[in-house]
Amino acid sequence: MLRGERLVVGGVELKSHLIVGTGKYASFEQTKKAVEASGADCVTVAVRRVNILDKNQENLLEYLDPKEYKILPNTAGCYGVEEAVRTARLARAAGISDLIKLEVIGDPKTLFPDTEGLLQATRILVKEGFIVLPYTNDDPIVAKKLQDAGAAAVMPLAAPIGSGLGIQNPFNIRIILETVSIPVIVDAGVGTASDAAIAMELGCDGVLMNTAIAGAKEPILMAEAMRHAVEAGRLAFRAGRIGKKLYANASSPIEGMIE
Amino acid sequence: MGAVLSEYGLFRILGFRSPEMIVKLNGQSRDVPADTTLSDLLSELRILPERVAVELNFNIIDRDSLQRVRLKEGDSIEIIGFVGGGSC
Repeated sequence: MLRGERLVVGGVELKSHLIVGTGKYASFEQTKKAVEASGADCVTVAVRRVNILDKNQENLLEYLDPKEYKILPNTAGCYGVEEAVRTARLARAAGISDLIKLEVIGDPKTLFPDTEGLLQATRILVKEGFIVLPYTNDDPIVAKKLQDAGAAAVMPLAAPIGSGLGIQNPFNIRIILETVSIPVIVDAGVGTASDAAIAMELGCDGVLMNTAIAGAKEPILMAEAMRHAVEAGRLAFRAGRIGKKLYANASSPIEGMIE
Repeated sequence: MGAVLSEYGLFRILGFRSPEMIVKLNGQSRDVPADTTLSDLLSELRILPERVAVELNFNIIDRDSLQRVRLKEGDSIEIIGFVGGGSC
């Protein structure tokens, strides 16, 4: 299968190469509209204590029907293997599938992954039958280890979570793409449409983002921009870009010039 | 003899209010009647079991077992659901 042709997550072929987060929106209504505009058919959600004080609290899944969207629970905010594994188990018990976007965070300032803990947690969860999508560094060696541990995909960061810096090390992403055979989904750090396009032009199978859309001045408009960017990037990858040259190369014929 | 009537069930039939006990729910102390099941607790909170996962003293309780599991004094219960979130 050609990279970037389609994105298969947990045995399900997705229509879109874009996966979106559901945090930081002004309302569930806005979340729903942004997700619709993004064209994504897979959304990630966090796992948290239910608010027991507000009996009339609305549920996110009333807005994003699990029959319509592939729900990808995450272990966001987990700083240890035990906590991440516990959260993953609860997500499975609460949810619809064995899918888990695994995060084991190493530091609150950078939110960089603790790759040692990530590998341990991946091994535990794979053994328990989870379909594990680990959020990792842009490190090809770690990506390979995650694949060997049974991860269903790897999700290297473009830049720190929520930073909007875009792909900081496209060469590492390329090496990861050559190193592993499982899907590569760039997760975190995308700031604007061109960043998403670059990820797809590199040959990535997908891009996951949240803040870039939810934090934009017009989130629904940005969601639409991201849909186009991911599609354009994927098409460009499949079309095969021209090589970069130092000097000009005229595109009009030399013959037939007026003398 | 069929179902065994619990001491507290008998209390209720006789019109007594069942004694309360303290459990920890999502990190907060809460008084519940002594014969409360996890299923009772969810109905009291108006939470649909299909939307959540329930953990009792660090053990996940299957949805099918919620009606059977009765709470004890000092139990720690976590009710977990999905909220908006991307990374962290």
